This record gives sequence, structure tokens and C-alpha cells, in this order.
Amino acid sequence: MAAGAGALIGGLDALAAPAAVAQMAREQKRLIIVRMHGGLSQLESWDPKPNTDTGGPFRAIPTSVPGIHISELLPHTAKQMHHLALVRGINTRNDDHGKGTYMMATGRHPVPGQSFPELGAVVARAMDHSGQSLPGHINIAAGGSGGRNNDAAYLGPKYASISLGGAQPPAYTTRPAGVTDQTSQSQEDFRRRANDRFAGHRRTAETDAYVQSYEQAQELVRQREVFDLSKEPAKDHERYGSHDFGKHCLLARRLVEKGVTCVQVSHSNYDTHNENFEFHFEQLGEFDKPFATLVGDLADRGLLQHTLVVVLSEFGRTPRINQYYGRDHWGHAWSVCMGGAGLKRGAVVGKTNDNGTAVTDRQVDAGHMFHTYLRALGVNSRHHFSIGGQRIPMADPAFEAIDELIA
Amino acid sequence: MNLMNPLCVIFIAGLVMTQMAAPAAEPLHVRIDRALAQSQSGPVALPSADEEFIRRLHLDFIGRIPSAVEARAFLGDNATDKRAKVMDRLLLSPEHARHMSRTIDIMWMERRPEKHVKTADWQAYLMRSFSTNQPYDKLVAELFLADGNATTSLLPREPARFILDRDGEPHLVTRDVGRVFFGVDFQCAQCHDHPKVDDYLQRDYYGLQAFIARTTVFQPDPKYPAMLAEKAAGESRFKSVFTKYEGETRPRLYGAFESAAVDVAPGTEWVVAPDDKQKNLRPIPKVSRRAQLAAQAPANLAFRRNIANRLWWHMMGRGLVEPLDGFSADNEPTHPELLDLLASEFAAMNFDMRAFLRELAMTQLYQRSSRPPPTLTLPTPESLAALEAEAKVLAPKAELSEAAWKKAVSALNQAVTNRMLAGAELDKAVAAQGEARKALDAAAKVAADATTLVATKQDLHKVTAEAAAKAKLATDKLPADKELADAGAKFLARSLTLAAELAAAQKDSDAKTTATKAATDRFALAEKFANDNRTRWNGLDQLVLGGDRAVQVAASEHQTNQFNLAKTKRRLDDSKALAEFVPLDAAARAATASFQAADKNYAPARQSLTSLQAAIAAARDGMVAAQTNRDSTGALLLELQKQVAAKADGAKAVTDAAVLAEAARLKLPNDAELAAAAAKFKMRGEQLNAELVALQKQVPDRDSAAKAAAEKLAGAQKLLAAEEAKLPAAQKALADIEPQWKALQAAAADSKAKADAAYDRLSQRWATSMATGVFAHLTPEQLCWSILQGAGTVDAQRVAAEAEFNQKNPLPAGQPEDANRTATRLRTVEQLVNDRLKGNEAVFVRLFGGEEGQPQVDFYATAEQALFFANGGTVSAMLAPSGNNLVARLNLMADAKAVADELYLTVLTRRPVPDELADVERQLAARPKEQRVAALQEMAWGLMTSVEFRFRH
Repeated sequence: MAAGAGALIGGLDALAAPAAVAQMAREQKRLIIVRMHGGLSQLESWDPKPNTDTGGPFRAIPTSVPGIHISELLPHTAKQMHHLALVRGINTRNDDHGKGTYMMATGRHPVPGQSFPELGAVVARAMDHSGQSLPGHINIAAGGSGGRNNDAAYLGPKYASISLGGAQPPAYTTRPAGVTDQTSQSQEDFRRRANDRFAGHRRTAETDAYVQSYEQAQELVRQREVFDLSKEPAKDHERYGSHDFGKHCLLARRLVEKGVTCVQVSHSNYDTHNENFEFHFEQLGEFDKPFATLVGDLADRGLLQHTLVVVLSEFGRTPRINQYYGRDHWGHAWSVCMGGAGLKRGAVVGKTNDNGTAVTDRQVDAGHMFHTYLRALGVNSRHHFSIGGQRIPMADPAFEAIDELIA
Repeated sequence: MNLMNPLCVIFIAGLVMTQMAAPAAEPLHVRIDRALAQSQSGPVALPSADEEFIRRLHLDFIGRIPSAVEARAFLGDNATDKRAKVMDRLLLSPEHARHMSRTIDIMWMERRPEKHVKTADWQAYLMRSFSTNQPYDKLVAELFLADGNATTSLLPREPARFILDRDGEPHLVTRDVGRVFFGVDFQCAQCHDHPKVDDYLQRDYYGLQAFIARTTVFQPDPKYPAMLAEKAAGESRFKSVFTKYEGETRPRLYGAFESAAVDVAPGTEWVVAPDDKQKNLRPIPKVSRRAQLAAQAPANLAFRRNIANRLWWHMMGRGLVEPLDGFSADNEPTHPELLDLLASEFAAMNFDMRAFLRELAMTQLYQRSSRPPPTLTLPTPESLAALEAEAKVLAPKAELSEAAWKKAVSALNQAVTNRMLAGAELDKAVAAQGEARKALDAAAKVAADATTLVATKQDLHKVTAEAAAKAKLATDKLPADKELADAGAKFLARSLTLAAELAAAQKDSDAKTTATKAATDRFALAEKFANDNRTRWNGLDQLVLGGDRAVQVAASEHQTNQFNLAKTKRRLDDSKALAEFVPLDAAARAATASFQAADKNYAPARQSLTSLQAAIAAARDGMVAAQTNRDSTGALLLELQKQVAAKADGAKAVTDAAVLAEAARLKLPNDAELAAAAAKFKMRGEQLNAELVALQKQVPDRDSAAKAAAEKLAGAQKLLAAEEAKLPAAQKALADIEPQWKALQAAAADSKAKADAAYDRLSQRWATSMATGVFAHLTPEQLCWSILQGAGTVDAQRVAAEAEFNQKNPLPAGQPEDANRTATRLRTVEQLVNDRLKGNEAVFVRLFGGEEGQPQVDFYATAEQALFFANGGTVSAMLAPSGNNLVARLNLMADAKAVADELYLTVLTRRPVPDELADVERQLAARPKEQRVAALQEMAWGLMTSVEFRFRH
């Protein structure tokens, strides 16, 4: 039985040369997903249409890439545009929060009776390698108690995201009071001896994985400060800002730097049925600087070439401005911003018409985006996972990557 | 088009007849072992020891490890039938009902969150069902029949949870019914024939969906509980997104025929008809498709195989088909004949799960050790060749039957298309017949009206004609009466018009009668046409059913061929794996032996070189020390000589001065001062000379010391040179044999690695072929309850619950407890213990279980689990000494041997081996008295987190 095949990958690193492991760790591909909850308006961000009936009050400003203009609400991000790329022709034909979130997270249209793993889980599984002791899929949440989420479907809990509730380190990584080094060492040693004796009679891939999970746990306790944001310099805290989103971006930087494969950050809330313009002014005002700082820092530190950053939403917002100065749900012509890893820099793919009511060039769906993310991370998105004897495509085989975005 | 199909009924009945094998004289477990032995090709493991058996049985029958008391009682029992006795005791315990209700809950609901039916109610329902050992087919029937309305239905509300808590989503319910109850995952067949599994057709999916699709969740007012409603109409039509093939099917189970069409007269479809004005009225159809599913399922082969396979998996830790929902010709069972034996026998024992589990536990296989077989013999080349030859014969057979099966499928598809087209034609013809009927009715009415008009006119004409005749008689008699003549003429005229009118009416009536005749003819034609079409459709429907049968026969033959081929291949692969391992193992042993032999020469040479190197190092150290000593003694001598020279110099100067001073004093004798000064010079000179003499006296000693040191150095240098001179020879001696030694060492390592890899492959084959016994991980619940049991938490709760029960139900002194009270007590105590401790399950489920709505069979090992054990606090709290729990008991035992015995028996259900006893002794001895509890906790923790505890074996 291919039971939890993922669990079987972990423990075989004993023979890998340390230098090779270090090299692999450095060049390991990473992913940061920034989720703009509620539906970011493409018109107030990546695809502005100033001076049209749908354009709203904000201007478009030039960016570091000649010819590309984005909304004036994103002045800092505009300066990083040479690291980024825009997909302006997304049509998911769907205006529902739940479905949109599902489609963008899994790259598949919802099929009743079936569930598919989310991007972070797919990437964590595809990138899993020996010598990895940190969890591969982390979700930085504003509050809550943390713990594992249900987003890995058939890939299994190993690849499900672990929420760092309130940006705190993962659960159970501190020893309870009264447990000393000696106690801990002594009980671990007793366990190891028991396992060694048992392995003399019966050993399977599952028992190996179980034994290995304890060594990983010890490693995680040793590396607990990976999650400790206070270890970042005060200057950087200042640059990212003291609000949650700024802190989370800084933590995301720290985590990918320490080798976590996939980190998710969220920014809430863009569901602006009322007062769209005021809300976007405020929200993007908070988003712009820390996001731009993150992109800049990743580039400066040589991490951006190994790290894909994606800013996505469940859909965009209607070009039509409603009677409450709001914009409603709109999956028919919207944009995603991304950059890094194997993507072309400063590229724009796809186009909408003059007032943004329809895609006029290179229309793509959530499935194309999913393939593109994987390809940008160096994963052949046409490959399959082998799950319990069944071959399941990593990405919806009905779609393909946006080739012209791949460097 | 709804016609009863007698053929179909016969087929299904025939199917049931062949499945219901006559009860065998031999018990099932004997037949299982025989079937297994026939398909085994290599050595098998030894029977399990009592310790292995009792732990395994407790985990599988009641979901936890045995207590030390239970284990001791069993191990100490000398009865030959003690294994059967303990099975019976456990099967009748409330803990077994609890374990089965958990098992079935997970199997059916796959840890889906609670939606419309409260989890507690659902679990209580399952507990009631398993306490009374309800047959499996009855439970499943309840699941499909329940509509969630316990007040009007005969069934409780809870079993409706399967559909209700999937929100009645037809595709989700269809897929899960397929997976959970028929062992087939039609996932992709929803949109097209399955691309990877040849025998999952879109037709299969929609056949199953047809049972489900009419069901909806009925909850007009969210204040009241949701129920299930069902429509009276709606057929399953589908279109492949690939081939665009369009098909239709009536309800049809996997591997069976379309259900008989049920003839319900229009207007009588409903028991409770829907009413737009009463939205709170739940419609109930006369014919329930879910009821058809409940009725048909138990006779279906896939249904029986599925549950047999799942219960087998429950006991043996491995399915005969894996994944459990992946049964198909392309994913053959490891032991198809065994699976079919289990499927038919489980049905023959009326789906009695307890009896079936007992038979499984009675098999030699279940009671086999999970350790590898002790002796391995190489399969003969003849036996390998025979299997190869067998596979060569079987492979083309399987290919042929696959082609035949595919042909049957396309013939069936064509038949369905033909029936669909004919169905459309028939619908048209029936409509035309209706139109013709309407036209005929209209024409007949018009003709009848015309006939009536003729009669009326005839009547009028007759009266007026008679009146005119009478008037004529009168006017003839009174010709002068003009008035009368006018009147007579009027009558005549009227009569004549009426005659004309009558003639016209008659003509019209004749025409209309003719038209009616024509309409009658047209209707007769239309009726005949419709009847012809109906006959044609019936014929085509027969062809579809015949096609279904042909497909089933072909599929079954193909499956058989495929399975036979797979079985032979498996035996061949088993033999090959053994044939591969045995020589590799022998080679590894030989290589190890050669290496060890070479090492016998190499080791002394290596040793003498090492000693020589040590001697050289020592000599060098000696020489360095001698050198240091020589240098320091030499330096001391030199220093002394310098001092002597300086002293001599000073003494001479003072002595010279004293001589001159004495000469001067002699020349000036009265100068007292001068005399005193001269005396001083003299005295000082004497003093210095004395000091010089003293210094000079030391010189020989120092001189000889320096000489001795120099000699020593020379000796040390000589020794070093001598030792170093031996080095090349020793090095050469080693170098001469080292390459060979190294080569042998590498060869031994390489050979061992190859043998190990072959062994891994072989042991996997043993597990698949069931040459070795159960080896599987504990479910989250088994792990949770085993930890609670091992730590002593369960027993503490049990004692408290017993006391509570006895207090509430006191037993008069001296009166023995009757069977009723015992049963009630056991049930109540189990319920109380479960209520108080089940809260612990959640964290284990979260950490060790699969995701909600996913299969719950896979093994996951994560760092988070290990961290929870180490730092979560839960386990350490259970290990704090309290009452009579494990650590408290151990702490009362002074003797390390007693501690080790109790610890291993409680946690691992076996006694410690000497090595382990020594380990426990060391652990206890290493810690001061005040840390004894900590040492005990560490050991208990170490065993509970060990591989041996985590797995079922």
C-alpha cells in the first residue's frame, strides 16, 4: 500500500553529503501566497482604467517597467514592478466567494463529491526532500490557536498547512515546565533503544517514517527560533510596519529564508460592495509598503530567484460602480500579480477592453494559473502524484501553463 | 414505456442463487486457510506467541491493548481452547460493540463533521445496533431507507445521516455509496468512461446515481430538522465529455442489470403528492428508488466483496483489494478466490459481523507471527519455470477476454443508443396516437351532432309536412277561403324548405359520418404505429438487458482471467523475490565470512602496527622529555659555572685589595681607621673565597647530572631510532594485506546492502501474500485508548464506574449477581468509562487521522505528533502517579525486575527480554531516589512512543 507515501520520503537523508544538502536548501524553490480576501478590485490595483465610465477616481501611475501602469494606490509596489509580472486576462466565470477561493486555491472547478489539495499542499509535496525538518506548508494567521488545517485532501496531513495562530511558533514546540534536558534526553534514548531492538525483527517504510518523525520533532524544537519574529532587527520591523500585515510579511520573509517551502499570508477585507474607493484606499495603503518591501528584500537577498510570490484573490470586482459607490463580485475579467522564481520579470500577459468589462487578449482560467505557478517553481505540472495506487494529475489536465510567462 | 421486465428478474434471482452457496461442513476459517495455502508459494511465519496474539486480538476486537491483569490471566491459562474462549468473551463485551460502532462510523462517515444529525445521536444509534449485533445488510438497508423522520417512519432518524450530512448532494452521495458500499471509486466516470480503470463506465456511475438522484434534503424551515424527500420521476441521462456518446440508464448496480422498469399509472405516483401551496408538506413517492437500492444491494457481488474486503482489512491490517475502494479488473485482489469465498460466506452467514470476525480471528493466518519465516529454501528452477509457463498461457487469454469485453461494451452502448432513439420515436408515435384520438373524438362528435340535426329536421319536416297535407285537404274543401289558402301555402312552403333542409342535413351528416370513418382509420393506423413502436422499443430494451448481461458475462470472464494471471504472477514474483534473496543472502554471509577471515590476519598486523606506532610515539615522547631534561640540566650547569666565575672574579679583586690594604696598614700602623678598613677587606675576601669554594663544590654534581641527562637523551634517541626502524616493515606487512582487506570489506558491505534491499522486497511480498501475520498501524482511536489503558486511566475510571453502579444498584449481601445484572453492569460501566474518556480522542484524531471526507486508512507520521507526545502535556499528565495507575504501581515495586515485568506487560503486552531488564535496572540505578518517579515516567513514555506500541503486529 502506498499509504501516506509522503511520510515515507522524510527519513532517507542519512547518506546525503552535508554540502549537497546545504546547496539544495539554498536553491530549494519556495512559494509565498498573499491572499487578498473578499475580492481585490483589479481596477484599483493591477489594471486601472482611469477616465472611463468604470475607472473610478484614482489615477494610473508609471512603474519601474516602462509602459506598465498600475493604480496610484500602489506607489511602492510600482517601484518593484521590474521584479513582478501581471496576468490581466483572468476569467473564472464565477462570482461566488467559496467557489472562487476553491478554484484559485486548487486550480480546478469544483466537482461535487471530490476534493483537491490546495496549491500550498501540492507545492509542499512536490518539493518535499530529505533533510527537511521544518514543516513545508505554513499559514500565517492573524489569530486563533494555530494547528493543522484541512487543505491537503488526498495528499495527507503531512502537507496540510500549519497555522501559526497570532504569528506564534507551531504547537508543542516548548517543553512543559519541569522537563529538563536530562529527562528529555533520557526518555528519548530509552525510546530509541526500544526501537532499535524492535527494528531487528520488523522494519517497514512506515516504521522508519515513525522513527524519523521524532527526530524531526527534536530538530523543530531546536529550530524554534525560526518562528520568532523578535529575532528580526528593529529596523526591519520599522520598515514593514507595526500592523498585522506588515508583521506577517516580515515573518514570511524570515520563514522562506530559513527554508520553509510554502508560506501563506492573508490581507482582509476587499469585499467592497459599499464605498469601494475608500476601502481600497485604506486597505491598499496598508498592503503596498510591506508587500513592496518584501519583494525588494527577497530580490536583494538573492531569494527572489528561488521564490515565487503570488498575490491572488477569489475574483475581481465589477467594472460597474453600484449606487453605494461599491463594486460587486466579478470573475470575468480580472488580474493576478506575481513574481520571482522561474517567471519572466516585468511582463504583462492578457488584456481587457477599454473600460475593463471583458478580456480581449489571452484569456486564462484558474487552471492555467495553477499550472503556471508550478512551472515557475520548476515543477512539471503535467506530472502525477501516486496516491494509494492511483495516479492523480498534479494540476487539472484540462489546462496548461501560460508559457510566455515562463522565463 | 414503463414495463415490467420478467427476464431481468430471472437474471437477478439467478445471480442470488449462485451466490448463496450451500453451508459448508467445514468452518470458514479452515477454508480460508486452505484457499490461502493453495496460493502460497514460499515459507510462512511461525504461529504467533500468546503475547502477540492477545495484544492483537484486543486491538482488533475491542480497540485497545489488554491490561496487565487481562494479559496475565490469558498467559497463565493452560486451556487448549483459550484463544477461542477469549474471542467469545471479547465479542460479547460492550467494548466490542463500541469498537465496531467507531469502526463503522469511520468507514461510513470518514470523519465528516456533524451537519444535520447530531454525532452523539448517530453514535448512540450505532452502539445500539452493534450491542444487538444487527446484520450488516440490515444496517445498510436502514441507511438507505431512513428518511430522517422518526415520527412517521418505522426507522430511526439517525441512519439518514449518511445522505443528510452529505447535504444530499447527488454526485457526492453517489460517489461515496460507490466507494463505501461497493468498493468502487467512480470519480472520473462521472464525466466519461474512466480513463484509467477500464471497467468503470459512465453507465455504471449513472446507474448508481439513478438510485440517488431523486432524493433531496427537505428542510423548508431551518428551525426544524432536515429530512429526506424523494421525487417520483427523473431518469439518469448522460453524455461523455470525451466521446460525446449519449446514454441513459435505469437504476443499475455495478456489475448488475438495469432495474426492472416499474409501471405506475399516471396520477398514482404519489403517496403524498407535492403541493405548491403547502411548502411544509414533504412529498413521498409510491416507488422509492432508495428502497430499490436497499432491496437490491445485499445480492450484489460488488457489495458483498466490498464488506468482506473491509472487514478483512479491519482484522488483517491489509485489504485483499487496495485501495479499499479500488476494486476493478485492473487492480486485482491479491487473492481473488479468497475474496469471493469471503463474500459469499459472509452473505451465507446472514451478514453476521460478529460471527464473521470470529472466523477471521480463528484462521491460522490471523494467528500467525508478524516476524519473518524462520527458514528459507530456494525455490527450484522447475517451480519457477512452471509458474512462468502458466503466466505465458494466461496472459493471452486475458488479452482476448479483454477484447471480447470491450466489444460487448460497445455493443451495449449501441443498444442503449438504439433504445434511446426508439424511445424518442415511440414518444412521438404515442403523441401522434393521442392526436389521432383527439381528431377522431372531434369528428365523431361532429358526426353525432349532424345525425342529431338530421333527426330534429326529420321530426320538424314530418310535422310540417303532415300539417301541410292536412291544410291542403282543408283548402281543397274550402277553396274560396283565401286566408285559409294562404295559410295552407305557408305550411307547404315551410314543409318544402324543411325538406330541403333535411336533405342538406342528411347530406352533411353523411359526409361527417364518412369523415369519422376516415378519422377512425387514421386513429387505427396511429395506434398500430404506436404499438409497433412500443414492440420495437420492448425488443430494443431486451437487447439492452441482453447487452448488459453480455457485458457482465464478458467482464466476469475477463476479471477471472485477469485475476488468474495476477495470482500466477504474484506467486511467480513471490518465488522470484525469494530466489533473488536466498543467493544474495548467502553471498552476503559468504562475503562477511571472507571479510572476517581476512580480518583475522589483518587485525593482528593492524594491531602490531598500531602498537609500534604507539611505541614510537612513546619513544618520541621519552626522547623529547630527555631532551628537555638535558637542556635544563645543561642550563643549570652553565648557570653555576657563570656564578663560580663571577664569584672568583669578585673574590680575587677583594683579596688583591686586601693585600694592598694590609701593606698600607703596615706602613701606617697608627691609623686606626685604616686598620679597620684593611681588616674589613681581609674579612670580606675570606668570606668571598669561602662562598667561591661552596659554589665550586656544587659543580661536579651539576656536571654529572648534565652528563647523565645527555646520556639519557642519547639512549632515548637510540630507542626511537630503533622503533622507527621497525616501522617500514610493519607498514609493509599491513600494506601487503590492506587492499585485499579493504576490498573484502567493501564487498561485504555492498553484498549486505544488496541482500538488505532484496530482503525489503521479499518482506513486502510476504506481507502481501500473507506469509507473515498482521503488521499495521493503530488507528487514532486505538492509539488513544491504548495509551489510556496502558497509563492506567481506563482502569481508574472503570473502578469508579463500578462503584457508582453498585451504589445505585446495591446487591443484597450474600446474593450472587445474576446474568441480567452482570450484563447491565458491564454495559453501564462501559458507557460511563466511554463518556468520561472519549473527549481524549479528538486530539489523536486531529493529529493521526486523515482529512475529513477522505479515506481513513493511510498512515501518517508527522513531527507534530511526536511533539504532542513530548510536549503536549496530555501523555505526561497520564503518567503522573495517581491511585493505582501504571507509574504509581511501578513506584511501589522495590525490585527492578518486578518493575520491568509490570512495565513491559502493561505497555507492550509481553515480558522484558534480559537486555531490556538490564536496561530498566540501569535506568533505575542511575537516578537518585527522589528522581525514581521521573525515571519510571521516562521509561513508560519511551515504550508508549516506541514503534512496537504504535503498530499492530
